[in-house]
Amino acid sequence: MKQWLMALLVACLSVACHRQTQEPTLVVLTPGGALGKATREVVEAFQADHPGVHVQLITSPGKDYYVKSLTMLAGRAHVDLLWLGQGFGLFAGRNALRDLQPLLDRDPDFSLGGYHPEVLEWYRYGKRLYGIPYGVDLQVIAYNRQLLEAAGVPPPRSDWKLSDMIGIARKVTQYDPRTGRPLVMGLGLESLDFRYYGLSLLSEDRRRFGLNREVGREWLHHHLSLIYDDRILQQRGSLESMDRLTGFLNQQVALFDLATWDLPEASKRALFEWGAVPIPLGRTGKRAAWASSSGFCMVARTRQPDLAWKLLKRLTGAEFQRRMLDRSIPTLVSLHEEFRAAHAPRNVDAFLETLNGMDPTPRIIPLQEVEAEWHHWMDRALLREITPEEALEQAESHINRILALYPLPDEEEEMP
Amino acid sequence: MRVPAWITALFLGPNLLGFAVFTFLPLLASLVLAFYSWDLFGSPEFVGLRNFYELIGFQLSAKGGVEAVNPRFWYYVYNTLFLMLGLPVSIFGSLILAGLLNRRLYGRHFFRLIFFIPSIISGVGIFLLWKWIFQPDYGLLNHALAALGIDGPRWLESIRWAKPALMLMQFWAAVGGMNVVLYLAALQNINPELYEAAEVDGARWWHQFWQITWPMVSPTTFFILIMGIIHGFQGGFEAAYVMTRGGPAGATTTLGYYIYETGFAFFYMGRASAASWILFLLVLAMSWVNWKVSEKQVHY
Repeated sequence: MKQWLMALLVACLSVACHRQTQEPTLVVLTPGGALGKATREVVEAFQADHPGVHVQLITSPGKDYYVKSLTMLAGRAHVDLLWLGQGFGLFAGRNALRDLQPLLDRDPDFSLGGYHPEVLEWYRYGKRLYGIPYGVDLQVIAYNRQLLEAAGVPPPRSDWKLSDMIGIARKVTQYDPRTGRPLVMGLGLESLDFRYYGLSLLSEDRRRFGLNREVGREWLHHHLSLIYDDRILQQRGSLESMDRLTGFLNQQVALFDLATWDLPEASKRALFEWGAVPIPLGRTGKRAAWASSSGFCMVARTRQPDLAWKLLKRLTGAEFQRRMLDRSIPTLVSLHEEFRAAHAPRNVDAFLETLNGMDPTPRIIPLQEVEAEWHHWMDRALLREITPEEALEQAESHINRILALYPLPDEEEEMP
Repeated sequence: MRVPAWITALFLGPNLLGFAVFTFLPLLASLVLAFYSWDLFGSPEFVGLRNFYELIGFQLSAKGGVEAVNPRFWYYVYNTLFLMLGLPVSIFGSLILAGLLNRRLYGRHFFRLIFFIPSIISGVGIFLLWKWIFQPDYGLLNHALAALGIDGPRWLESIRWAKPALMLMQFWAAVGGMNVVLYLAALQNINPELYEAAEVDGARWWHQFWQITWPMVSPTTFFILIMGIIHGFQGGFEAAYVMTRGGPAGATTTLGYYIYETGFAFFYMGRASAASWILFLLVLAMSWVNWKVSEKQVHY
């Protein structure tokens, strides 16, 4: 018996020692799909250059990616690097990320000089830089040239206005006179974005709800009239089966808010001529398009910051950005020509033009809760359960209460 | 022979240990956590009853009246109760089905298997299947309705039809399955002489059902009702998660889904714990009322 126990002890010790002397391991979290594939390729190249290093790539589907990643970090799981987009604030605000500035300062071979400065700012929280972006995601309006021609409408120009977009949608929308169902829907937008009215979800200081004012009420009433009176805008569907891209590709939707990540699918599957223009100019004469970004961040608890920094540079550098050219705009301005060439003969200037008028989702800690609260009240208004005034009032009251619970990054800096 | 206490403890120990570590301690922790604010990252902060106030509290509104601090919570309580309205229908359906399957019909074993299938196949598979059945433009249901000249609603996208759609699906899943098995067992336990005596006395099938079958299966009905209410309060999460994500506009969000969302999407662990304990109290109260009301109706 004693011998057996000794043998077991030796076996345990040898396993423990083996683990101690194991090669250093980096763990990277990303969503799956094309991004996961590109990350894997870069990781393999990194491992080939660093034979003693093992990199474990954990991919999880896009849906609930932030929730799963945040739960992993809260559970102190071993993670070194992770992909982050507009959910960046959820992590940075909880001190889950590592400030990259000291690593950047120590590295003479790397500079952020060529990166799009505005997008780089989205990865700052307070005074700290927590991530480096490799791509910009934004939306433009794609139009079906054939449907527009059939309705006798010229293609939109890049300086078009909201009224122009609605005018085109009215002309191309067609209903089946027998069943009353739409044959062609003018606007296949997720919603009539409040940005078209020069509005923002939150006030400039991000302390209050920003839509409950005269222009906001006007916007929501207009949104309703486009759905129920003009019948040119699809009802906002919360289901995946209501895929607007599929509607566009099936020629059931004439104008559609095309995102950068839709580009490969749209280019491959569209059997008709289509073009893209920036979103229309807002009522204020300025353009403010929804935008987000993709980048990699380092986890605060990483045990190998220098090694992780080397991999992070690869995952956000020119080579990786080239791999993602088909679905996101590179953040290195020098690669914009390559982005244009990668999509030729299709003209993607609309995307590059929109880089000058971006309005990103606010990067705050309670982003998901604020969005859920807002969608709840907006959807109730759009389903005509409550009036737009009630929806905006309710949303304001509850969102302001949520925002009051969290310090803003600058306030956090001032805290002891 | 008297078994020594240490042997009893030896047999009970592993189970008790598992219960203590994986059930009792988490329960206790959630009760404590209900009085704290914690997002899994920082240190928990004691907030007293604030989590409960944030869920079920009322406040003076700007217009002078009283309003719920969190109207969405009450809306989700309403959704949960609404979805449970299908329970009596499915219980009655199960009893009728069990009655049919209890007859000496050709192929009854095959039909018993068919009706039990919803209980053994994956819930996610069922929800995806029904999601496509309810698809408004290409779905089977609206296609069938169109053949009858009816313009079907946009089921899961409609704030009015989303809940009835889920109830229809629940009815399909609940009418067969375990409830039928329980009723079959109960029906087979009824002494046939009771029916023979009733027939001799001239009782019709309707009287036989109300005077013999219904009272004799009442303990089973009571069990199914109690379990149905408990599952009804706790349920709705999987369907909401897979089919609707709680939408449209929260119309299919149940308390179970809300607790998940509060805890694991918004990271309010304290508030999610408080909501769980409110749910527990609701289940307890409903079960007690059910017990009291059914006390004289159940014949053991």
